[in-house]
Amino acid sequence: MTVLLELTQVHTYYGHIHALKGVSVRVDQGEVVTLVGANGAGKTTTLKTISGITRPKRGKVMFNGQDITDMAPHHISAQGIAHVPEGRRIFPLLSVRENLEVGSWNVKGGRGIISDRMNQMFDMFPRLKERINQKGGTLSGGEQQMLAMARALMMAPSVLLLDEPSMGLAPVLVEGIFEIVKRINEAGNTVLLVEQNALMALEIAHRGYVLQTGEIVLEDTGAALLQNDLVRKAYLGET
Amino acid sequence: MSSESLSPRQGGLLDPLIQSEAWQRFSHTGFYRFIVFPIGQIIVFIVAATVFLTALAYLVALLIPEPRPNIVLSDQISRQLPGMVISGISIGFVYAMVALGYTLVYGVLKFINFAHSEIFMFGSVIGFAFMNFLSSAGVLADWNPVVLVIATILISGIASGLLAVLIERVAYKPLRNAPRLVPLITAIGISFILQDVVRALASITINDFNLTYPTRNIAFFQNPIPVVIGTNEVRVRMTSIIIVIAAVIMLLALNYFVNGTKAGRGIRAISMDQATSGLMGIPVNLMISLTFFIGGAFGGAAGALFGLNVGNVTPYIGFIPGLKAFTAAVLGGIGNITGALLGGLLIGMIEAFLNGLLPYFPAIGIRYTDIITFGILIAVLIFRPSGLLGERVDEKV
Ligand SMILES: Nc1ncnc2c1ncn2[C@@H]1O[C@H](COP(=O)(O)OP(=O)(O)O)[C@@H](O)[C@H]1O
Ligand SMILES: [Mg+2]
Repeated sequence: MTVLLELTQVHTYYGHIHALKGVSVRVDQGEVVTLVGANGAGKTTTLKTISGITRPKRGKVMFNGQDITDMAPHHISAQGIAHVPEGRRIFPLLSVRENLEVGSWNVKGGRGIISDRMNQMFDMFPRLKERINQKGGTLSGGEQQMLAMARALMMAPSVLLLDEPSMGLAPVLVEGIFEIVKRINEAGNTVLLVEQNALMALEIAHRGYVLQTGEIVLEDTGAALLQNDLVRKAYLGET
Repeated sequence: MSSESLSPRQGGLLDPLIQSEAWQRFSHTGFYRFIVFPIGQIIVFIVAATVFLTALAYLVALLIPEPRPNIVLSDQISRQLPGMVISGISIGFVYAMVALGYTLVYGVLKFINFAHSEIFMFGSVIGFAFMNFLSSAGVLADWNPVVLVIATILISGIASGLLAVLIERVAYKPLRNAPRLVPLITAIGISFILQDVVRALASITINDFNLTYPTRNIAFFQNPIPVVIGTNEVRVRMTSIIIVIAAVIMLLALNYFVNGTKAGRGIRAISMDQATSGLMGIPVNLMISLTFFIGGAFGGAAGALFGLNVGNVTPYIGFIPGLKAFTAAVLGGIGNITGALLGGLLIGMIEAFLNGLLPYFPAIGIRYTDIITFGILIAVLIFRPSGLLGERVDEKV
């Protein structure tokens, strides 16, 4: 397995708040890796540090053998990292089509490639096709999540960073979202998935990390973590 | 000029037309989105502002029929109406072009660039410098007036756009994470610096900072064109016509840029969510510079057109028109491009009506025009801070 993305001893601060205290995470080509942990553990900060929205004070982020620690977000995205942020963050006043076009900002090869990709997205998310000229802000929560994922996939990224894709969705939709994540991975995409819904995330993940107040406390395969006592107690609600 | 802002609500009379397939197809063509719709919008705004202000004026005439002995207000209104409308439209377009600079920058940075009034002034001074250069080279009269106007607009626009980019890079970008008051104060400081630098340069080079456009001596620009409307003959100044034509062309170009190009889409995305735009690969700082360039270019071109119209500029002419354009941007809804157009036309019309009619009232002269205009600014800020078109309710949180 080739290492695609690797964080080594990353420390990230918000002013005086020490949010990541030496986090090391590795994602191999073709894997689904999940980062689970309670609210405020630093999951979002880890993803933001990878995609360049926040800069680590110490430590290193390597991607495809390249040091991306100090790159600007738009350069990191051009390297092939697509970050679907927490809360979806679709552009509310842009139409569905325009949201997808924004996602293809760095796609080379012109209109043809972009419309091919868009059609692939519509195959995967038929609902988006029905809403193509509708403003992003008028979509339902589930549709917005689909749009956020499709928008990121327009980049044909090497790795997809997903931050709580199931947040705020009805249980039936949550199943659907995880199903899609699985399908995206089976199509050859590497995924780093952040979830509070640890059970579902660990079920589809090859490997997982448990994050507690800015530190990795456990690291194992998804299946093993599902059996782990600490995980069962702290995150799967067992007593 | 988002193509949604004028579409009727669901359940309207026009639904059968709007839902018909032919209309649906037509409304997505470039011809509709970039030519028919924006021109229609401009016409609707002009007609609406004219009707509204005319009705208001006659209402005042009903309440105060004779503001002075032997002066019948309603007669004065009907006699002056065409002239007031034409001058309102032309000054309105100047305000609209300047207001766009405030609104575009506010859109991407949520910051009021108070130095924009000096960008406008700078454009008017560059316009003067260019024409003065041609004049002292003795070739001004030989230039075709249309070519001269186009060249002046381009040079003033590009120079002002570059100045705006420079100011952003040097003065605002380092303050992007500072408290919001800090860049605001900086912008006011930049205003003073620009005024004094321009005055110093003008004083050194031509020993005067009262800059008179040499076009004053060219018949094409100065001889008014008589236009007969009904029984009235109105004399329209060539410079008013130039302003309207230039502004409409530039507004169409801006609408195409914002709604029809990749860079325009990037700027709109940044105005909604800067961090996420970066994640999508949009070079945020470059797009912000581009926004300053376009806003500055519009302000500078408006400055040159204004200078051509009034014939005489100084380093201090930016303040009042800048403040009025800011009023226009706030009235329309700051951050909203269509709002800047509507606000500009409205403020221009209001000013023209006041200038035309206030002299008939005892004790109130033309000087009250500015007081009333800025009264509108205060009223909007108090009662409807989001402006006429500012409230976008289609945003689901
Ligand atoms: N913008 C911010 N400013 C200050 N503190 C922040 C900010 N974002 C997150 N934090 C803090 O950093 C820690 C980690 O937050 P976050 O990464 O959002 O956690 P998670 O995604 O696991 O819920 C928390 O203590 C949170 O309060
Ligand atoms: Mg989070």
